[in-house]
Amino acid sequence: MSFLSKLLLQCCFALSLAAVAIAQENKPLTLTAPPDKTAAIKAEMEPKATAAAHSLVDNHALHPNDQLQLSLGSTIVAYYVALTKATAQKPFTAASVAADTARTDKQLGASASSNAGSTSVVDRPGIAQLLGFAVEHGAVTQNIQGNTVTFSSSPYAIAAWLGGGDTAENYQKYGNSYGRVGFSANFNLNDTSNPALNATRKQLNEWSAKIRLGADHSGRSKGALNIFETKLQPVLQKVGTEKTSILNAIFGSSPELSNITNEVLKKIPPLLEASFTRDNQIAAVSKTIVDATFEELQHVTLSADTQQSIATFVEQFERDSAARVLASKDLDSAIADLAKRPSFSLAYLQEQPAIGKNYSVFKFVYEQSTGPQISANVSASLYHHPDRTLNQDTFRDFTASVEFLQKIARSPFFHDPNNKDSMSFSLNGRYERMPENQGIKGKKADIAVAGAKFEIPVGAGVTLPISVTYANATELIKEAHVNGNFGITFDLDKLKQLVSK
Amino acid sequence: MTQERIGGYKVQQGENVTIEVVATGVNEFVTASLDNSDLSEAGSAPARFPFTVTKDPGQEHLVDVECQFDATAANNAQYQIFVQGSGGGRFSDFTIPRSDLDPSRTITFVVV
Repeated sequence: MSFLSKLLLQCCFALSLAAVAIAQENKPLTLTAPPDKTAAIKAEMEPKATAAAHSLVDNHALHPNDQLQLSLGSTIVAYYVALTKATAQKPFTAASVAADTARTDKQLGASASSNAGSTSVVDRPGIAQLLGFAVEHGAVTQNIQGNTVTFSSSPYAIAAWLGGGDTAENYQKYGNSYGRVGFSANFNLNDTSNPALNATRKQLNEWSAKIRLGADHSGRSKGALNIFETKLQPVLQKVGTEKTSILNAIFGSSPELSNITNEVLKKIPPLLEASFTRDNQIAAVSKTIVDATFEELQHVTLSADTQQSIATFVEQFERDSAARVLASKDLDSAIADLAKRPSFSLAYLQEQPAIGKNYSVFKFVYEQSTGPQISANVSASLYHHPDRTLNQDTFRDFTASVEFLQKIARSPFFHDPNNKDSMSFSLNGRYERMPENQGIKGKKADIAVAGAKFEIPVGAGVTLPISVTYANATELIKEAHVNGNFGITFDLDKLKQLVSK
Repeated sequence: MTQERIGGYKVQQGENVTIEVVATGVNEFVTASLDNSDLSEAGSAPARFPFTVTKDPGQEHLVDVECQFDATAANNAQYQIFVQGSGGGRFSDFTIPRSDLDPSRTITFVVV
């Protein structure tokens, strides 16, 4: 072969390669997934389809007569993400919402000053937790009145209830006024099967009112919204716009997405038979969403330009979805830090002890959680009707108390990584000056108490508190003694969350 | 505007549509996007995202609503979406509870 022939052959070969390359660049993306990638692509669609199935099944269970709720956007975007990176399969990560199980600032059971059913010597402000109707179930101790039930509410809760719910609108209107105040009442509990039956005047141990003095540091506050606008909103906006950009590039010039949703929805009702378990319904609906959506998408064709646009958006979407996960954690962390800022409240408690006269307590409550959680109370109490024969005057006592609480580690009883309940250890001390005991044989006017408490979450919404307390005397007995207390605390909010799942 | 299903509407060209997101038990952590651009919030508590139907008949606008539940949100917290059109109608749309694994929704508006 002559040199000229070789050169001609090489030129022809180079031209044919270039032609193939150009043809490939302009080749429309038919979206017919390669057969060997079908399983992998469906696997990447599955988490979003399962999320959609969860939502559809649970909503249908709550409102069986309503229309089915199906949003396919995320599943379809997952399909295109998987298709675009078909040669390098990575799981499509989505922001997950971890349940809040990490709170230790929630007062469960009776206040520290109530003698019954309490393993606490220090009250916490807890006003934020009083927003919304809350029912609290007290701990059981060795005290004969160890079973108690506490009902809590607030003017905000009532205003929200009357005004359509605990919405952002109502919170903005009433959260910083009515939301500052909370009420609770603690009752002896004789019938554990029906606590509401014990909510009678005769069974009343204590009722209280609290008012928050400082600013709102909760996740509902303006401060929390500012944190959102700084830390998460920009990336959340990007993710949403990239998602609609992908969908708009594919479906924007036709009603195709709407049609696909309608086609998939037609296949769902037979899967929601009441005889199927929830898990089976979700599994069946999820599989149908994946299979039917995948099938529908095989008929969609795109231009080369659209293909290029999708590839660009997919790359940005993946990057920003990962950033969203991190930003979500930053948001939670910043809101948690906000809640740790010092908070102050004033409380009024009316005590109705089983033994002794009724009295009122005026209490200043301080709490901060930067580092170890510190709670401090200073209070004074007054008898309503002092008994002079018992050396009582109107002024009953002065009390100062402090508690240091430190979270230790995650509870060993939990295997779910989303469950953040941790064990905690606390030290507490209290000094009480009780003038009526002055000069009375067998009693002390100055009472000091020191204690330690170890709390172990043993199940979702169930905590086992164990405490040891030393006292140089009680209000009734002069002798120094050591008490050991244990009980079981139920967090009904968490239990309700479990039931709803 | 007519509601074809939850998350699916038929609208007229030039119609003004408002998407309203009511947050309950949670702060208003929400954004919205329309087609290939951000959708600006015109009001808060409740969050309102208005837009005008500009596409031709036979095409569809796509709206994505992204919500966020922070760790302090109430266990029964939720976002409720409502859709309103200047051509008439205010419709209850998707509900996004805190337990939702993907707190986002896509809403389609087919121009007729």
